[in-house]
Amino acid sequence: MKSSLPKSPEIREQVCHTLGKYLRLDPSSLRPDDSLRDDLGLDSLQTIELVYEVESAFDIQIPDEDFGRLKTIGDVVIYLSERSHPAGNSLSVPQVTSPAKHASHPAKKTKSPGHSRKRQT
Amino acid sequence: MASRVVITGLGIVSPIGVGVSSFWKAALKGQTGITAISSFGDFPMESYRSRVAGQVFHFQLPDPSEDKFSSRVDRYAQFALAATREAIQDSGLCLAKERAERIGVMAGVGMGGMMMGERELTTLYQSQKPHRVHPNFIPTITLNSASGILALAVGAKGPNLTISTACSSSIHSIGQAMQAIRLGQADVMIASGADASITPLVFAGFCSLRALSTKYNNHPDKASRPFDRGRDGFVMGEGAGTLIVESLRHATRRKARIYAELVGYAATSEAYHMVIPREDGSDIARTVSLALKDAGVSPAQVDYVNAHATSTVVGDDVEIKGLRAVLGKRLNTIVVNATKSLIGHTLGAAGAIGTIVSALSLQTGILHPTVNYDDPDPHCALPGISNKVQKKSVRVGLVNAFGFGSNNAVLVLKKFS
Repeated sequence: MKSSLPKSPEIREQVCHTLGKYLRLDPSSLRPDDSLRDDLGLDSLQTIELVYEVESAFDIQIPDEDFGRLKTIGDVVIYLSERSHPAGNSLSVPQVTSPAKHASHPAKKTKSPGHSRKRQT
Repeated sequence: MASRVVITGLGIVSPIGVGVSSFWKAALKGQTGITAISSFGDFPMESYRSRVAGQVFHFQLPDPSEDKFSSRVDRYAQFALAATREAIQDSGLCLAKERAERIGVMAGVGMGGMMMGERELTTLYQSQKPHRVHPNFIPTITLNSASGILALAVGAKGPNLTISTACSSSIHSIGQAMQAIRLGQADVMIASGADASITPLVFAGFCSLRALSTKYNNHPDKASRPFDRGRDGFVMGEGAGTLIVESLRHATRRKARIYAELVGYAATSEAYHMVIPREDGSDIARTVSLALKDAGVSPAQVDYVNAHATSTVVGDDVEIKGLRAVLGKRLNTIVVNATKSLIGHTLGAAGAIGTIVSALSLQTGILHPTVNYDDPDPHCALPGISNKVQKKSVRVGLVNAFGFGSNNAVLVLKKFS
């Protein structure tokens, strides 16, 4: 998915807040083109956790077929923007209540040990 | 010299049959046990991403006057008890004539008594009355409640252990049962595996993990499709399998029927990731090689694999990579099938049921179809995978199981001669 700045600044702000909190990064340091896997070093389980945080923040469910589209931060923002606009079925944008912690991200920006969205079991 | 170890009794509780005979008939017909989930009562199923599972519908508890144990344990252990009773009867063992100290139990359990666990948790939180928690709660949810109740029910006073390694639990329980006999710790081991945790919380957890199939909610029978291009995650199942494993000397002395010989076992860790297999399959290959070495069998002798094959995109692919690394071109000439295509992933029971299938396949030369293998995925397609039943004399079989926690297990079975 092509990354570009979303039309909805509130959604972008909330996504960056949520992701920054999960990643322990300054939200302002996150860029739309940041790849969840390659730039942020998330493996597939961590990506699922991150999307879970987004689902919780926006009180939505993201189906598996859409989950696979979410490769970059911009993808997440655009996806939520798309979900918020069509047919007037807007998302409720939660309030940002606390600043994200400015700490170093625990995951190294190296290739992650797995990129599948389905587990082995 | 270590004792030779043989399989002399089988018992199953599965979504396609309670009892080995009905299970095997259904398996050979390619009958699927995957249906829409119906066990959550009034719970709103539409909020679950996945809504299909391999549920056991035709399981009846014995009359309490004949069985004082079943009513005291959770559904998974009830399954284990039923499978074990069948296996003992099938083996012809006369427990009254055996030395109780020489019979042990190894149970493989992934989730355990989650059914009661969820019920009691709900009771506590809703009532806020701690005294409403059932007195039998702790003995029931303790992971060794199955191995414990099996020992009580049959009077087995030998080694009694529970192995919990998620989806590979009961390959380890069988492997460790074999080791106990090899070491002379027992003459007979009841090797069982069981799980029954299709519950609102556990199922929600697997949904959140995005591990389950979600594309086939309206076509449940199509949802479990190992090695097929359209696979999109595993389907949760429930059930139990029990094998009576004993020393060849003991089996021969009592003139027992022998299904197959257990000749090799390997247990490894990938030390890699809690839920993701190493992509190149190298640790699976290492596990297969170790099991073959333990068996004294060369890769060229292998002619059947009961694959772990859960129907996940990566898992099936990686398993074939691992097998190919060891078996090479041989992999293109042997039969590989996926029991989970029929019953879903029964977690702690999966390895035991796969081993029962393998024992029956070695004995009969009939190999059940891998259903829904309609559009073979070129990454893991093999000539020996078929959605039709196959007939072929097979002498050496592998049973694979890989579990969360970076855990691998492989058994090697040999046609008895």
